[in-house]
Amino acid sequence: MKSLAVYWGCYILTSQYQYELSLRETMPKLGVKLIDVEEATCCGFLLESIDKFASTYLAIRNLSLAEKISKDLLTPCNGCYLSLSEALHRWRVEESTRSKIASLLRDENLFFKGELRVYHAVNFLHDSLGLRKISEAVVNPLNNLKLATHPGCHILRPSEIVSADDPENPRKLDELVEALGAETINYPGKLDCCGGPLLSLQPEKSYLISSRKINELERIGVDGLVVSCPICFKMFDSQDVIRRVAGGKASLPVVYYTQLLGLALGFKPDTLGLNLNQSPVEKLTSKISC
Amino acid sequence: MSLTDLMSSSKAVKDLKIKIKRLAEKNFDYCFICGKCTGGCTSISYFRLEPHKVVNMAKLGLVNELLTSDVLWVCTQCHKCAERCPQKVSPYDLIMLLRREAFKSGLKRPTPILLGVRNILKNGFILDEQTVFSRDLDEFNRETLSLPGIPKPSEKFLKKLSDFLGLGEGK
Ligand code: SF4
Ligand code: SF4
Repeated sequence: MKSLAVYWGCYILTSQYQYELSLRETMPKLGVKLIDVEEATCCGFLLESIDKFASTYLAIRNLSLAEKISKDLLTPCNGCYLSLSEALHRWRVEESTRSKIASLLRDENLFFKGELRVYHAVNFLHDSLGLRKISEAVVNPLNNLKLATHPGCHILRPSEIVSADDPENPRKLDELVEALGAETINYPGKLDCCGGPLLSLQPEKSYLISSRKINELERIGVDGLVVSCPICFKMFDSQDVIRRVAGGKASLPVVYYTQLLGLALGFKPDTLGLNLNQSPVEKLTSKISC
Repeated sequence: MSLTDLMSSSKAVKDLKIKIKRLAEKNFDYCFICGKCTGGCTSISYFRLEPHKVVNMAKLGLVNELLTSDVLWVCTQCHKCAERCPQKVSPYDLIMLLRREAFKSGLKRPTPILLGVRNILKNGFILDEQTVFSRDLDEFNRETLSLPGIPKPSEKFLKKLSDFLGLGEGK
């Protein structure tokens, strides 16, 4: 069994429980043991807007806690993936940042070597675990589904820091979906941002941004949208807000990749937290046997 | 000689431009106004954010106007402008730098950001643990979903972070 540390970040731990449930359920089935990073905190993403050093410090502190328990770290959140990857990059290239943070860590008896590898769920599953291992584990192929994927921004850009997939033509999430037996489509707005980092500053209007993709996919006609970030998920799944703010008849199932994976591995929908999705996921589950 | 923006009558402040330019990791003077950043900006249609204008106002030294402007705070942090700029300018990095300067100087401190920071200083995360609802309106939380509790970081660490951010009592 392969084991690695898992860093959840704020959104999953405090509200996006279905992402956590579905990852915790499915990974052992694929021979992966997740070890929680204890006493972790926010990844530092929010602090980017107010204090760059503090943001890097928070990220490195989390990484040093992870390095105590594993050589590899998995984070399921796009925002956390960028924060942690960027901080690791700074740690490696900026001598002054490194020595300042090292001394702050010492006060807590923490030590960071900087040798940890940071994965997002998408490149971990696609590159490290591999498509074959996933498709071999499928007991309930999702043959009837035509799905769109939303890779999100922070596993693609800035491409000199994060390189989970090709920044202009990301295909990994699509290939992961196809490994479960479903079909994926290409669509013009695939690279569009969900608007999520604006959610707290613009609690209503930020949904205008996510509405665009949902309405586009409704026009194209797909069985659902597959997401791999808790913030993107919230922006697309909250379709009561999308309808109120942007008009339209948004009614598109939105699922986490790990939920879809769980269905293909034979888990029951509620075990994967599908009852917690607010979008009409029964439209999707009714097309497959589960 | 100073430059005056004829539309707003604002005056360029050379010292501020020099300061921002020194802090910026990428040189925004290289911008040749191709407009690619604004063409692909996530926030242009709903929030009228035009990153090439931010870059060129900084270039002209109209930094005060930027520091007090709301446009800095409607960027979705999608990084598209930085990725696609042929001159490696990164309007995104400039916007974040200006946000930090606006915040530090107290010119703009948006409440949602302050609340997030307060929360980090309280329990380590930007949010508190929430009760969620299923589509059938049943209530769930971590405990009822059999998810492990979230360990709180040590008081010592939180205190250190708070001193460090200079956002303690009254600030
Ligand atoms: S893409 Fe770069 S060079 Fe073109 S206008 Fe924007 S900042 Fe200037
Ligand atoms: S990072 Fe901000 S300024 Fe740049 S394209 Fe995205 S929303 Fe626009």
